[in-house]
Amino acid sequence: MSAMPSSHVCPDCGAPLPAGSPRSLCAACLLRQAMVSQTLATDGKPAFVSAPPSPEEIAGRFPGFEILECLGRGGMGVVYKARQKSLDRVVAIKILAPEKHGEERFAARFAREAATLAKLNHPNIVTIHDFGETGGWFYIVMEYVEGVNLRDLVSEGKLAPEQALAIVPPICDALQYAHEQGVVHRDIKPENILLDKGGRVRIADFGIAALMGGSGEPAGTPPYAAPEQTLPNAAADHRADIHALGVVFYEMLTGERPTAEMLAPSRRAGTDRRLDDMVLRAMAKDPAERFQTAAEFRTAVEALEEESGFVRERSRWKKWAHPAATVALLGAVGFLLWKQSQPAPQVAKPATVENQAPVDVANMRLDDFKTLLELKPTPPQAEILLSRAEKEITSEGKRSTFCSTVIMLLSKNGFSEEAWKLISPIAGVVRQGEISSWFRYCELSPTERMARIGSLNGTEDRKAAMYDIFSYADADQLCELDFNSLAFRSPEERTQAERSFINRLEFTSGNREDRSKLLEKTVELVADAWLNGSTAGSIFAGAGGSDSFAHFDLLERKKPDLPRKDYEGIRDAIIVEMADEDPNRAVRTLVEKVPVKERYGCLAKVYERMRRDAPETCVARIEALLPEFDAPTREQLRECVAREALRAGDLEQVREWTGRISNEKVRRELNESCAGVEERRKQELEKGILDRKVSPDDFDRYRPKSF
Amino acid sequence: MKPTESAPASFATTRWTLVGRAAGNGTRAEIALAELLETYWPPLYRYARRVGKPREDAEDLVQGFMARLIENDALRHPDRAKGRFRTFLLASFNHWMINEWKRGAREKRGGGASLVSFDWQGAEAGLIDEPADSRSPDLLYDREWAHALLDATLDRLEAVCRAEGGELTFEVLKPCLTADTERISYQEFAARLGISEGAARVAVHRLRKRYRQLLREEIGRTLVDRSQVDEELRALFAVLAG
Repeated sequence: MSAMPSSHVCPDCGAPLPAGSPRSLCAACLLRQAMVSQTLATDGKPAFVSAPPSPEEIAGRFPGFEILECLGRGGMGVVYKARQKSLDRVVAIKILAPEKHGEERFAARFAREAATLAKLNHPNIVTIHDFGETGGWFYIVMEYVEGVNLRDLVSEGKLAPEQALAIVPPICDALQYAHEQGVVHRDIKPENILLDKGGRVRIADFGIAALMGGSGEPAGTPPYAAPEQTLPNAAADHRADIHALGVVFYEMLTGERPTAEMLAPSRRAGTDRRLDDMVLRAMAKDPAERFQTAAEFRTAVEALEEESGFVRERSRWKKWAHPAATVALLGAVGFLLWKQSQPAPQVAKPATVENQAPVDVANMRLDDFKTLLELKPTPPQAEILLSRAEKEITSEGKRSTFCSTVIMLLSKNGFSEEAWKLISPIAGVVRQGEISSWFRYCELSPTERMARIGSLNGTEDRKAAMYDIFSYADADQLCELDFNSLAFRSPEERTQAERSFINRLEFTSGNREDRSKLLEKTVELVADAWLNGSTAGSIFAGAGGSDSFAHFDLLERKKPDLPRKDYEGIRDAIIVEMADEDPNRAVRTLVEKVPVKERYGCLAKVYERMRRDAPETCVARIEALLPEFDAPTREQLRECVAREALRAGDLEQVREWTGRISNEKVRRELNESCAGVEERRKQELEKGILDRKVSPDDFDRYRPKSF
Repeated sequence: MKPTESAPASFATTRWTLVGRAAGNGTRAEIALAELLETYWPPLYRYARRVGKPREDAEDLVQGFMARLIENDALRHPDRAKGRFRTFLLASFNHWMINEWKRGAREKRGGGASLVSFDWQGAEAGLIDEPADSRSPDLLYDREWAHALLDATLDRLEAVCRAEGGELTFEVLKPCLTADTERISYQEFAARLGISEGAARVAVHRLRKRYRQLLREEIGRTLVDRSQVDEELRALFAVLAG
């Protein structure tokens, strides 16, 4: 009885789409999407001024996420902990302070700068997964870091110099990396320095200060902000971050923020006098007197470490987790956990390897992280501790932390293989996904870890481990991986792995060499049938135009190994990218490499880019190229120009170029389309006049010449 | 003629306020009203059909009503119905059907109503095959009003895109208008449009933003007080989602 097309349902809400739905879109969803933006009212009222919105309020705006809790509010916005349903991962969502939401230009700046920030990919920088706008709120979805921030630690009192010294180098690494990408943090302070559960130092909120403030406005937080930052229209560069890090360093060493009558750390806190020079140099008023790069700062710190024997141990994988930082900070995190469970904490003696006494692991207190961290466990000791943890620690979170610490210490003590063997049996007693963090810190290379994914049973653990390998391995390591050793247990797992890999590629920013290595690997993966050509094509398309000729050479070299269809998918994507770099060469390459019959789709895209980049000269460019080519190619180029002009509504140009096409059928079709467009315009104009929407003056002005 | 991102000048005052204020002031109010009716007469016609009027009668009723409305400013009381053109129109139309129509206004076709072009055939579409619907004609009127509103908004959105040479962009990206941000596959759109993923993100963002702006403007046209836009938006959503 119903004429309603039941096959049509809204892809967003699943409700059937009744006939007459506007543009075949679901009316309810159209309004819903507009409603979520109602706070972006024309009067620009801020969405929240005093209390941050509750998780329930937020939930409506982020249907893809389960909002777990509000983590806190800072000057830049409010942060929520949330679970992303699609990937089932915990993330942090930062909703930027709403004061900016009404600003016209903010949206554009946000989109531009957030995209840059999302490309920062460094183990010591909190990763940005996504960003956007919902309901008029600009938000950033980022990696959730479970741990503490440096403010929490410093408020407990000053840190031991070796702890402070361990924290600085990874921050320098991250800063150096970001500065090379042209990103300045502008708001380095203890609140933005996080220490994750594995002891890794992570910098949060990169570039957000600049984003929120806009260039030319003072940014940063006193007293961390450099003098040049506090002036309006100041030209603060990356050295502002070095100043801020110097202040943080001072604070770590002394437990106090520097004041006007600042004393050197050695006089304030009795630290080594060689530290004074370093801290004071970083904090120099004049940027020219500071360390000029973060790398230089790092070198100075490390030289001192080595000279004075602050740190005795070096890891093979120090790139990922600075060992000193790991141990020192696990100590710090553990100390906090321990403190929480002790109503009246005693002041513990600093942990050093020398004063280690034999520990009775069967009877030691499991909440005594101090002792645990001093212990260099052997495999039997670790086994005892793990089995005790399973029985005695009831809190899931504490048990997970404890077990991962034991595994990590065991691994650090030279028993990687044994540590690995212990992971699987106890996987059931810790939180799903937690294993990946052990994975990261066990002293195994990505290749070795990849080979071991098979022995993980939990779906979440497998997923997290895969994600981890792709996200934290560097380009060389990724290229060495044997992807075919990954035995997938389900198609979803495969998709997941592909997605992680693609993400990794997309966000491999900056370093050209790395990018080309990874793209080479991508082509290999296609040859191995691990990836398909269209996925690889989109990777190349996302790689940007600046290297597209090199990419093309690479593809040509690998051509014999690739299935034809895959080759074509990648080839077309690269040629389209070439148009950004050198349109003429793109067209020539296209003509040379692609048979005339398969060419049109790609040609249209290339020309579309040309038109987009230089609408005034694109036609002349094609005109100039024509004599180079044979007749069928010329015909194709003319058709392309004519069709593109039709799409853009430039009928005069359509006519001109159609007239030069010799194929009768194509010419007729284009002429008919032209006539159709004219007819429609005529009707619209007439209708416009009847409705008094167009004045007769307008009519003359807009009337097509042939009308 | 080209709609631009900055609000058109016409929105200094809402259309509907203009109708009220300019009452008795001749052409300006007439044109403003005709513009509104141009978009919103079909729900009225379908309402008349649903309450049981035969086709010809419904056509006469709507056209006669609109002619009277445009010509006779005494009928226009925007403050009625809490300043909403939507409720005002239906209430007045009901009033018209009961009273004026009885007095034999049948011959009053034409006149001011010629300011509006009618596509009766189009407005009739689907009415006959319509499944029996237990919902009241009033509710369906509101629902169709929302559709008319969205149609008008999307027409304008497309026009804006076309003016920038982005017809294809609109065609490809329009599914984003109903989707939650995290459901949007930028990669796919990027591939279809032959642009980079970043560019696709920006394009989607702009399209959504403009859509919201235009929708709010369109709703604003039908209200006396623009601060009620959110309220009206919620009301329409409730009708559609209910």
